[in-house]
Amino acid sequence: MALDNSMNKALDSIGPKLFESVNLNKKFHAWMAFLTIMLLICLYAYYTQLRDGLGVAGIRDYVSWGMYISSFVFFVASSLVGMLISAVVGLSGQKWVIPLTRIAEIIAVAFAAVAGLVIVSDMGRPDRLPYVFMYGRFSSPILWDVTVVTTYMLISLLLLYVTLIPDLALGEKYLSWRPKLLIKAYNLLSLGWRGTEEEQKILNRAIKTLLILIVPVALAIHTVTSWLFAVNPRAGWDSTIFGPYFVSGAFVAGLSCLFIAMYFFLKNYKMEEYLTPNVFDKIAKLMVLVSLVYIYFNLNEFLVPGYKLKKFEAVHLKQLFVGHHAAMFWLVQIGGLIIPTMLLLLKSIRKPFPMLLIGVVMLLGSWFKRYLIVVPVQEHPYLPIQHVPEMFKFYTPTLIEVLITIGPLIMVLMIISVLAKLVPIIPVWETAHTSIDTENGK
Amino acid sequence: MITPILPKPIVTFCCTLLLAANIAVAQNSKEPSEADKLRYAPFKFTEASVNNGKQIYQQNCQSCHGEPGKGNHAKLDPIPYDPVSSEFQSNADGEMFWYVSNGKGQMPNFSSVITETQRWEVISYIRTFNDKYVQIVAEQGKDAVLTSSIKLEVEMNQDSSKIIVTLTDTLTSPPQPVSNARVSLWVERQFGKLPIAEQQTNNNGIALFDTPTDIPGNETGMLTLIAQANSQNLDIVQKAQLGIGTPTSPKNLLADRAIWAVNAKAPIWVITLYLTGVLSVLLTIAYVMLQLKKIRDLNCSNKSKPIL
Repeated sequence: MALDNSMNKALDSIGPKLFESVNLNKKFHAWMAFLTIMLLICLYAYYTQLRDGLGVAGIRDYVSWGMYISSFVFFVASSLVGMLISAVVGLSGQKWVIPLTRIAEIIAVAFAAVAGLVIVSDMGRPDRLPYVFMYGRFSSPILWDVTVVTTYMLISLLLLYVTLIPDLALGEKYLSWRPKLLIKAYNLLSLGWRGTEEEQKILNRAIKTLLILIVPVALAIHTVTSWLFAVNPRAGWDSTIFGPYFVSGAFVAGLSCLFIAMYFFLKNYKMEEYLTPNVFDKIAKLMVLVSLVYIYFNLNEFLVPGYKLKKFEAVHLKQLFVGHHAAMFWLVQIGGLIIPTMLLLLKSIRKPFPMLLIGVVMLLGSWFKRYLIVVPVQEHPYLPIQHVPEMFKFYTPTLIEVLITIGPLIMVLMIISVLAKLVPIIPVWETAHTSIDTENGK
Repeated sequence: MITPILPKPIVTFCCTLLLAANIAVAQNSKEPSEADKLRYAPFKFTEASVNNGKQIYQQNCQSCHGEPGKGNHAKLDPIPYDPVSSEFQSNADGEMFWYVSNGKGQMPNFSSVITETQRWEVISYIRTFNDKYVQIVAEQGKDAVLTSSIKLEVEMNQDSSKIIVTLTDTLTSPPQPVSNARVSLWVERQFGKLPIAEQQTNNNGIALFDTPTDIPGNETGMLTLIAQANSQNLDIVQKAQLGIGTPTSPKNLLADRAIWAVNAKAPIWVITLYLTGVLSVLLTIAYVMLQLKKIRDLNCSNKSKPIL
């Protein structure tokens, strides 16, 4: 029982503080009210689209995938951070990552849950969504995509829940001052967890299985998203490295989301004790690693076809390098990827506030990068564009379209905000457990 | 086995078509006969016909011949002359009509693209660039005037292997043959009509056509022929089924398993990959759920004081 006593001691030293955030304060209500109003505006924009048709957006016959699909790819990309932090880094035995796992999983669940809705916003007849399941074809990447997005959502949610079970059991002890309903829900979901060795063994088995399972599924979700493009013969999408190119880009997008979230929780939840300078330093170095991989894939993606300049590739690449999209392209590649990566090599930059700024810049870069992958290619079909109004030739998003694109982002913020108020943002049980292990190790 | 994108017979067929098209271009050196040159428009050119002609010219001719008078024609050999040029204007109306209908050199024939009336309208537009031009309208009565009482019949003469198209006016009794009417013969295809030939009916109201021998028909070699007699106001059309085609049985592209087919006919490897992936993920999730159930069962059976 010595271990149990020390465990109780360890829990008591961190529990009250970490459960403090499971509380709806005025700030939270104000924040949610603001988000709700914003969401209502966006929903009105969507209502306009439902009423008048997709014509209210800037998408036309040639560029039929605009901001919506770009945003969808971005959402799927950002959701991969859960797998990166919990599975890839976590399974390799890196203890510093423990305080980040739940934040990453919440981000993953939020983005994965809303990604499907983004697709619906691109549908002229959303009532036909069930047709994908009723008449979907095994040969169609659309069916694969719907399958993996829902599966990944399910697994992320399950992973978030399973790692929460011990913390849910602690709710009775540390949340006695909160509404009874919340405690009841905590008890119900905790499956009566008592923390015996046998329970821990079973739970660890479940967690490990999920962590291993989420790696191929997360790779599949973004590889399949890339195949929506790469199975086309169109210049700019017809690429064999689109899968890994998307996955490495997804880690950059996901980690920049995590940068922003970490700063927020550090300042608002006063988590200095857990989100230490060391954690920021390590996660920044991880960002440098994934960015370098992404830069490497970018080199392959543009340099190789750029060297050959095959007829139709040339039209596309010239539009990106020196043409219509050049400003955005170089801003995204240099400003949104290369410079932030180089800055993160400096020790003085690997601090919370500079990393928040870098997170915002890289997040914007990631969004516009998806836009550059999705839109310009469609402006150069193999068959010439003829007998169409001028506005069909180049894609210009409309205000309504921008609002409809912002809507899902607000939903993501809402999901993250609510989850971060319902559960402790740092895994309590795991942190206490690790601290005892380290003590014993000493 | 991975199904090839296009079955071999289709590829061979397409290649043959391309080759045939090449030969057709190379051999397009026929010239109009004297009778063709003496053909005139069946109506007087008016402002309306010029306006129509201008539109047709811009859509079909301008890409090669350029804007009239600007000399910005396509750089081809031989040169597609500017309509204003003397080389162009020195042609008789009938010659121009013949070239538009049958093509010349690299210029394709437009007989299946624009109607006879439209061809004359283009000529009426082109002639506005020639101050010295005086129009001769086809003599009244020379070209037959068609009425709705005229009956058109298509049949096949087995002995001479000719297709006979007969025009008779049923209003008179006994029915009178309609002579000097322009009759065109087509074959109905999947997409649009394939032009065969154009003839004038003789004094017996008959136009004779050589039977084409190389057109793919259905399994029994049946072809749907379309005979059409045109005048400015009225087109008389008659269809007939004749067994003059080459029997062909096209392979249904949906007969075998293929990547574009419905689930029941999807390639086995696609179905296997998809189902194996989905099933293994679902089974793993089920395994995790089973572990969670174990934890719950463990605690339901053991109500002792919690360790926490």
